[in-house]
Amino acid sequence: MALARVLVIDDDLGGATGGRSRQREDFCLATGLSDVTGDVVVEHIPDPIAEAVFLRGQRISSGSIENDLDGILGFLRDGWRQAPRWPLVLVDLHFRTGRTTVSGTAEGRLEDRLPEEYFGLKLLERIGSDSGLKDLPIVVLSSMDRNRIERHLSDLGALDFRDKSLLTKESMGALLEEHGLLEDDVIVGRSVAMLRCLRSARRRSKLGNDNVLVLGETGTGKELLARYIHRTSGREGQYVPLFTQGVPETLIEDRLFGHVKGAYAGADKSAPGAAELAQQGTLFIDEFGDMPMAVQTKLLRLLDKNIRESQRLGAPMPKRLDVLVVMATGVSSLMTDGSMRRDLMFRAHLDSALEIPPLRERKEDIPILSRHFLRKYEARFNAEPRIFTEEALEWLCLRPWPGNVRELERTIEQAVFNHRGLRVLSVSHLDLDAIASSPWDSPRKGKGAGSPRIAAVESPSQPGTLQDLWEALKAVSVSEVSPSELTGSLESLQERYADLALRLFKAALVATSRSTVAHPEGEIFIHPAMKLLTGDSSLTASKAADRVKKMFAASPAISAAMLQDPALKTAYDTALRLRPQRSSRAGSKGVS
Amino acid sequence: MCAAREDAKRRGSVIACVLSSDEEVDGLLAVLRGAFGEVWHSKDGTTWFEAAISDDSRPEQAFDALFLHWGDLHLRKMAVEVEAAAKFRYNTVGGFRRRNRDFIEIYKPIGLKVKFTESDAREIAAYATGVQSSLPSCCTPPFHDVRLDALALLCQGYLVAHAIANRFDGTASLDTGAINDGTHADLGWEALEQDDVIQRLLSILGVNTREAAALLRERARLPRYWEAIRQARDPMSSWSIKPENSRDRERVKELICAIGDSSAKVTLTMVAEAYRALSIHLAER
Amino acid sequence: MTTNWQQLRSELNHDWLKNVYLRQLQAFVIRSRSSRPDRGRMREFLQADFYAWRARRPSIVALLDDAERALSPATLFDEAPLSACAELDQAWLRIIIHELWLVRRPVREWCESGRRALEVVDVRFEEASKGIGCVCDLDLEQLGGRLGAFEALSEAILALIHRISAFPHEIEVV
Repeated sequence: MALARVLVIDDDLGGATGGRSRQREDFCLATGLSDVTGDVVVEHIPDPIAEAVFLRGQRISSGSIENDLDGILGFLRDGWRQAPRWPLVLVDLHFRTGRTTVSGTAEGRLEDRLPEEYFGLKLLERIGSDSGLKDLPIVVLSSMDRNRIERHLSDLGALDFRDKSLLTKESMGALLEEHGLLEDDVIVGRSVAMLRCLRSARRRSKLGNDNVLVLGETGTGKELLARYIHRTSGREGQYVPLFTQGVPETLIEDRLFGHVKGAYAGADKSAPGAAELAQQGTLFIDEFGDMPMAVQTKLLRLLDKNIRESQRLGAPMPKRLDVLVVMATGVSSLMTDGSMRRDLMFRAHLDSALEIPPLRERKEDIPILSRHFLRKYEARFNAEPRIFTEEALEWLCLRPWPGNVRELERTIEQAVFNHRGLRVLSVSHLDLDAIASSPWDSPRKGKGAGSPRIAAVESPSQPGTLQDLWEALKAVSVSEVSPSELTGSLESLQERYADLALRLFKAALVATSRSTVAHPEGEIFIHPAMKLLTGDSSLTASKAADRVKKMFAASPAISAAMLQDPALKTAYDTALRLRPQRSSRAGSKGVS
Repeated sequence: MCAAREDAKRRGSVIACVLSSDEEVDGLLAVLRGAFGEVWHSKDGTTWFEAAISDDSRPEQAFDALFLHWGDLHLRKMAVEVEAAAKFRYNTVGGFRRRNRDFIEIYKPIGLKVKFTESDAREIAAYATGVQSSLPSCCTPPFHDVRLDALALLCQGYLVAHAIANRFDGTASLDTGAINDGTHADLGWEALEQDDVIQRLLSILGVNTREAAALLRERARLPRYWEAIRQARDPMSSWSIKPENSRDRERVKELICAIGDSSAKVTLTMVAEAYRALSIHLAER
Repeated sequence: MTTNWQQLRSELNHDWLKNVYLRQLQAFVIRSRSSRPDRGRMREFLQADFYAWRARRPSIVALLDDAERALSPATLFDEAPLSACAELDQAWLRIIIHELWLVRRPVREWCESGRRALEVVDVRFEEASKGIGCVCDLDLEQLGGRLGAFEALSEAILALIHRISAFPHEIEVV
């Protein structure tokens, strides 16, 4: 990954005489910064931790040096308007002004040294009042006495204060880690929202083994963030994820805590649970709010930092653990359906949750994410390298992406898979009018286009019909499909089935809706709709609700998109109300 | 200065202008009228009214003093361009955190409560016309209020002069009756118990020890001992009024009034209590 | 208010000791330890920058010697309004005020502490300067053995900086 590039605004370090700045050289060497300003001959810095641009922030005219507030603000805005942005800005306090000396520096005026006159504070004040520079991460870097300006610092939004003369490579690295808006190789994104999230995650990861709660909509990458927290925590043990959706209640406890031999029928030998496996590492629990109440009770002892105990099924005594627990759930899951114990919520530190922004709040990341997925699936499917057309990128950016990054990834994956031979992807290749616009794609173009492939079909003119499904099935002869073609195809197949099923269900809802005074456009009823679809007149309302829930659980990505439809949303909500226990919410199965 | 300004000078008028859209500006205008020959006011820098008369005429002369309401952002640039001998900025709460190159700060609030007095206005007029060279007292920033520093030091001297003399002639010492332990400690009285310091001190007066000590006390009791404070105008102006400090302010004000009123007696107790209050205020500064 | 002493202290302690000399020392040590040391820059430091301590030292001595006088509240009698006091009163008041201040603030200890820190710097400086030899052909191996002396000098400079920083930034009346 490219080095981060910080900005240092300092009259001494920013100046140069005769193509050289000795003060800057010494500073860079001591702090591990590689000078990329371009105005001086630079010294080689071994293993730099970041690049740095130095800005003097002054103008020289008629033998006098004055501070240039507007110039600095313009420079800041240029590096902040769009990515890559300044991950960190270091600002000096004391700027010398006045007559120019022989060495090219300013003589200095008496008032420059007065704390109330520090130019650095004036600069902070202006930045704070500029809405275009909101969130600019600023640290004051000065060898002036901190005590004299302490109360001004917090007023003016500085993140921290460091003594310039004592800064070393290690402390600069720590400063960047703590306050910098740093990009990551794995969690792709350059938007301020995402970088702030990563920064919060890093800060939390350094808080020993405090529990971390990660909140985010489906498909935002909660598990990726959990891995990031583990990666930046420096913990020696492993990262162990635990997914509980769709797992029977009795098995959840076993998976989490493990068992001793003979604990239950079939327990032939002892086995550790995820908690023990994560000793000295990180345990990630997905959708912890959906855990059965009985398991939540036992989870409490693990979450309590003062206890941190895990007891295997059948074991006489618990075991103390050193584990960083990261829990994830969707924001809506916190809304109370009574399924989460209050003390679990308390111990999960709901007040200090990390929220991952949904994709719609980080739209500027869509192009970079799209290209990232493009490269990923080109490699996986051995497809031609390609680019997006401008229109395709624009369309991608305009979509609401209710399924967030996961939905975007699936879309790109599908586009690459369907069009392996293409070198340019346009809007039509992305099937943006519908989510997975057809459950069965037409045979792909490009290499070996004649041979039948699962899900390698073009979009038919009438997507999502039973007839299409039947035709596509007939076209596939299993014996002719190679193992590599089968790889990863099941999810795609399930998505297409889910899409079809939900469309048919919607048709049934419309067909069985009734116009009432309260709902002149037609009120939705899941019971008659499901009776119609199943052909089972004895179907009870609760069974109908179960079926609805099951349909939505089949494919998280498809369901999330379908829930944008008001009729389907109403139907799903109705199903949840009728059958709140053992719910399997749409979009939650296997989603981080 | 332009010719019109010279005309105004020949008329004997000292001219002020006020740039402010603040609704409470009338209070300031009224005060300024007591000190300046002409007072002009504009809300936008374009249309000017002479404060005594509603008149659409625009003054063409430069001003002696300009007063800018700092809260009017749109008038700041204009104020820099207006020609005036001295330019001042003020706000409604009084005080500024830092200085400005183009304007002198007035540290008294001018708004609903006009702490700015006619005496301040006269002082500013004198400063603007070169009659007074030192900064007007209302322009002394709170964090460098040398007037209160001076008062504190004179209180120290007064208390110690009495303590030394009392020690020699056996009258009530510093420790009992008048002064509490806190003041004693704040003062650093222990130093004065060192004989060599006292000797050095008294040798300046060139007389023997007992007489010298009595002479010190006498000098501290003379009205002219406090002349420095008498000359410093309104030394309490930088001390912001808050409920929690009202008692302390009263103590100090009492002493200042006694100093200003030569018929009133400045007493040891009064000085001790004022010093105690001052030392708390100055330590928090 | 910023007096001349404060300005001198800021120029010496902040502008030079902290921002220039200490940094140069630290950078020299880092360069010496580097696998690709920049000999040109190292030579530059040893030939000129290193010895700047000798040129600046008298100013630091003067700063410490003058601290008691410059920071004393007795100096307030030099300007209005206290300059209006009668001369005789000023004479005894200055003494009293100064002595009271010395009781409240351990200024003489601070000055002594500063002088001791200065002496330590002198000693470390002489140790570091030994064996620099001919700068023209830097024997890095030999220099490597003496890096401890330069690090010790850095620490001594830092201690001196802290001592000088400890003096008050304003005249304290109470």
